[in-house]
Amino acid sequence: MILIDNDAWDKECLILYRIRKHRQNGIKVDPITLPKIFLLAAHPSTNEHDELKSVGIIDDILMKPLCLSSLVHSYRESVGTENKQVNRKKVSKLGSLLMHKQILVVDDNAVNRRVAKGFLQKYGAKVTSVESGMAALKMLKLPHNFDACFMDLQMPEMDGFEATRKIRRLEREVNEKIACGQASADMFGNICYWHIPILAMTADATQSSDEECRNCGMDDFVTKPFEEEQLYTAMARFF
Amino acid sequence: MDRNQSRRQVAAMKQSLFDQGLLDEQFIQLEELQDDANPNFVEEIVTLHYRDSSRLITSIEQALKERNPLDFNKLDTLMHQFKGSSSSIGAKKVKAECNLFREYCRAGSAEGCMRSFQQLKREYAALRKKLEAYFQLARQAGPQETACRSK
Repeated sequence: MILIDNDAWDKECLILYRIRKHRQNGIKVDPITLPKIFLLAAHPSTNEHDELKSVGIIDDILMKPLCLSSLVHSYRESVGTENKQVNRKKVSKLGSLLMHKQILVVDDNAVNRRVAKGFLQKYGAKVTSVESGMAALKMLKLPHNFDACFMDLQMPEMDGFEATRKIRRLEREVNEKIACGQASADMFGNICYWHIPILAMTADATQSSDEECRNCGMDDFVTKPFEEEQLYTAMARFF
Repeated sequence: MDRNQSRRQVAAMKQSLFDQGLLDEQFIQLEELQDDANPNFVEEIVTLHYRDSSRLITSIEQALKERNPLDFNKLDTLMHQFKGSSSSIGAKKVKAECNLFREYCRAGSAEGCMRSFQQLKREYAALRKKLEAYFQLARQAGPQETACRSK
């Protein structure tokens, strides 16, 4: 931990430059090892302070005279902020997973479709969304260009389980044909084994069992609305 | 009104929606999806939600009228959709009312369903009104950084 009196704050100071450089290169350095830097000020935050904080040169500003509880609180917060920094690393990791991937989102609810699409697009994915199992089947007729499919479970007419079963059946038929020479892989985009990752989207983690999902051919499930970390963990298996 | 003042008002209004337990983290997630390519994303989603939820409310009201006996499965299914839609915009209190309603469905309590539905409609209307005021104020204040998590 480093405590710097505001009055002593000297931007030309070499040591502070070095610390700043380390922090800015934080991606290469484990953030946990970086010292926490607190500025001690007699007056409440000024614009300059806020800027220093937002750029990441200092972790927080503490009021003089210093009291133990505020120091503890700010230190804990800055350690908590560490997690946010780590999350930001993961966010860009999710971006590198999803960048340019073609994703199909299947959900009968317009709001959920739009939110899922917005979320995935943020990480560079190309998203197509459809509102039913039937529409999903049309999209996933082989050969197709999708890299993954998010499937809502509860849908009218054809639910996610049934849609997935049908997709796997289609894939099985084609895979068997290619395997026994009845068809050649170049009829199917030069892919001789088709298995699109299908992830169930469930609003209720409790509602459908993992077993039920896997039995119909799903690869994994994620809760909706999406969460970065969970999505990263799920997608990392496939990409 | 001074720009900064407007923006502070908007931020304060938003904070109070959180403090009152009306909105949760998901609303922030929506704001984080708003950018130059999607400048009105949050309002777009919320508007979609209103369309969706109005339809569902009508359907649920209809289903509640068809007594002798109540079709609890149908009500549960409709409420599941309503809950999903509400979750997507971060409507915390409304979501809680949805869960209550579904418990009454599972318990087969017609009385419970009717009562919790009335409460749900009240919460829904209250949130809708507040969000409409919020978006109006936000529009007046002009484009601003919407992420309210400290960097």
